[in-house]
Amino acid sequence: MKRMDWILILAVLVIAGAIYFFYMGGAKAGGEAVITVDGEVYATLPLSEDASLRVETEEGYNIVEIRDGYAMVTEADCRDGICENHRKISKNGENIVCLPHKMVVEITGGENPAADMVVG
Amino acid sequence: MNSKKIALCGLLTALAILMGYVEMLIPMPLIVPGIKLGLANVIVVITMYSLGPKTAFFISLVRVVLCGLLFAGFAGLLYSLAGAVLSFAVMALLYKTGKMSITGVSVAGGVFHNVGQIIVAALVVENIKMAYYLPFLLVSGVVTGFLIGVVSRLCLPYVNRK
Repeated sequence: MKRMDWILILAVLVIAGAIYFFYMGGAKAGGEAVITVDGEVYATLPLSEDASLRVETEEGYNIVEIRDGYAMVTEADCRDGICENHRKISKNGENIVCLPHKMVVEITGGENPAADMVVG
Repeated sequence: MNSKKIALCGLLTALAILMGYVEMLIPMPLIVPGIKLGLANVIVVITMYSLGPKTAFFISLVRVVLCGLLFAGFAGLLYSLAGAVLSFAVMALLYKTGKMSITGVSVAGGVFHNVGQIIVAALVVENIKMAYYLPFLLVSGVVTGFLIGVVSRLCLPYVNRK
C-alpha cells in the first residue's frame, strides 16, 4: 500500500460523506410520492393517506403502496424485484427505482397537499 | 503473441466469466440496489499486472459481453459495459502513472465501476436523483475494491511464476 492509495480511499470516502449529508442533511419528511414512468409523471400520491396504485408501464406493472406515511413498492412483475425489496421511503429526495420498467417513485415536499391524485 | 500467451488469455477469460457466474450465486444485502463484489475484477487486475493493460482490456470486454448475454440479458449488458469501460479506463490510467499499488488501482476500479453504472441508470430513468445512491455505492466500491486488491496481490506471484 502506497501513500497515494490511502489518499484515494480517503478522498472517495469524504466525497461519499459529503454527498450523503448534502442529500440527507436537509431531508425532512416529504409530503407526497411522485411516480414517474420513463421520465414522465404518472401519478402523485399524498403520503398522508393510505393508498394503493397499480402502475402500468409498457414493460409490466408495479404496485405502489402508501401506508403510515411511507411509500413502498409491494409487487412488481420485473425480473430482479429490486424495487420490491427496497426499504420504504418517506423523506424528501428518497426514491425507489425500478430500472426494467423505467419507473421511479420519488418523495417531494408537496406544496399542494390538497390534491388527492393527479393522473397525467 | 506466442501460444503460451494465447492459452493464458483463454484461461483468464474463462475464469473471468466464471467469476461473474459465482458472483450471481452469492446473495448480497439489498440495502441499495447494484452492490456487487466485483469478483471478475480480480482477473482484470491480475491480467493488467501480468500481461499488460491492452490484454486486460480485451479480456474485460469479452467477459462483459459473454456474461451479459449468458446471465443478465441485453439491458443488464448495457450497465455492465458502462461500468467496465469506465472502471478500466481509470485503472489503466492509474496503473500507467505507477503512483499506486495494486490495491489502490483495484479500489479505483471498484469505485468507478459503480459510478459508470449509476450514470447509465440515471440516463435510463431520466432522473438525476439516482445520485442519491452514489454515497452508498462509493463506499461499497471502496470496500469491495480493497478486498479484490488484496486477493489480486496475493494471486499475482503465482500467475507470473514461469
